[in-house]
Amino acid sequence: MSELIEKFNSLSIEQPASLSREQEAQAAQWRSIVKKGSLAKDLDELNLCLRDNSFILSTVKPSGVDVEVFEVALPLVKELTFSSKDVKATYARYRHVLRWIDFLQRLLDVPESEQLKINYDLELPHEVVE
Amino acid sequence: MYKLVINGKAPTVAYGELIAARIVNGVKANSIEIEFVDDKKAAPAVLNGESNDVLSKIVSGFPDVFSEGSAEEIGHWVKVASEEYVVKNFQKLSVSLEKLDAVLNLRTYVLGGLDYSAADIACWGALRSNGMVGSIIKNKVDVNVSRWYTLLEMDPAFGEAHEFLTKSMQDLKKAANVGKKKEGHKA
Repeated sequence: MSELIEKFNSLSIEQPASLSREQEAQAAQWRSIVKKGSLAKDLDELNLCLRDNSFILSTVKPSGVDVEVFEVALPLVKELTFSSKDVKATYARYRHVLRWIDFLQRLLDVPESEQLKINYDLELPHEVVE
Repeated sequence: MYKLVINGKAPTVAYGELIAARIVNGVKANSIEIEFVDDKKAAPAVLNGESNDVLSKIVSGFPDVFSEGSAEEIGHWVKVASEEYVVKNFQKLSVSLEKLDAVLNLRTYVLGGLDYSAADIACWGALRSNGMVGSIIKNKVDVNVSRWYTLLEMDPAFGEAHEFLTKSMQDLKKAANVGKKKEGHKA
């Protein structure tokens, strides 16, 4: 078990007693993406998922699936924002992933040196949902 | 002992105050006695006989229940919520919600913490009382506001506030009708 999952379990965050079929499907989908190592190309979909839901399985508190995906997403998105020439555009495109990463890295007490530094003051354009 | 009186027929129902009081009672049972009145002219919420700053008084009265956020930050949002989010003018409301949407771009809760604060209660309660808000949330006009609103709605303290109010108002009506029922029609 990874350190982050261990840390998450130690927080004893209340988990739903049972998952709906939709939630089960979501969990399976994201676990398979993590396993295949293809999160980089599914980052837009993750962002979309986190646009409408605070957490991946639309739970009221984060679930284990959030932590499993976060573990892979953190280094990926860190690299993405580091190497980005247009930080604002990257923020605007992945704003929901950034919000979620920021929540989880603080929840899981990721050491500051490993955290993704979030610039909360960056003014992002209003997102229009079609 | 605190006593909170909520006016279920107020033009702007005091959902924030009701939610806060129920959260307090959830942590410390029976800390706040909640009563309801059916009177269009009464203040939306009255705490121990006073109708000013009721939400702030509940929050400051129970600092261990409402530990998130500074008094200053909370005061700011209580003010914004009570002045801007109950507005029925669509254009004005749109401007206010777009600002809230910007705050929630990179924040899960209004103050950016890991749990809701009294600021969320104030904002959510004010929006819940505004009949214009429902369709705006549903249509994802401000997608971050919709996500945040839905998250809090999943919490029974927020999501069940309306049902609690409706049921309490029905009970009030029933109680008022007792005694003046069909006199002279004895079987």
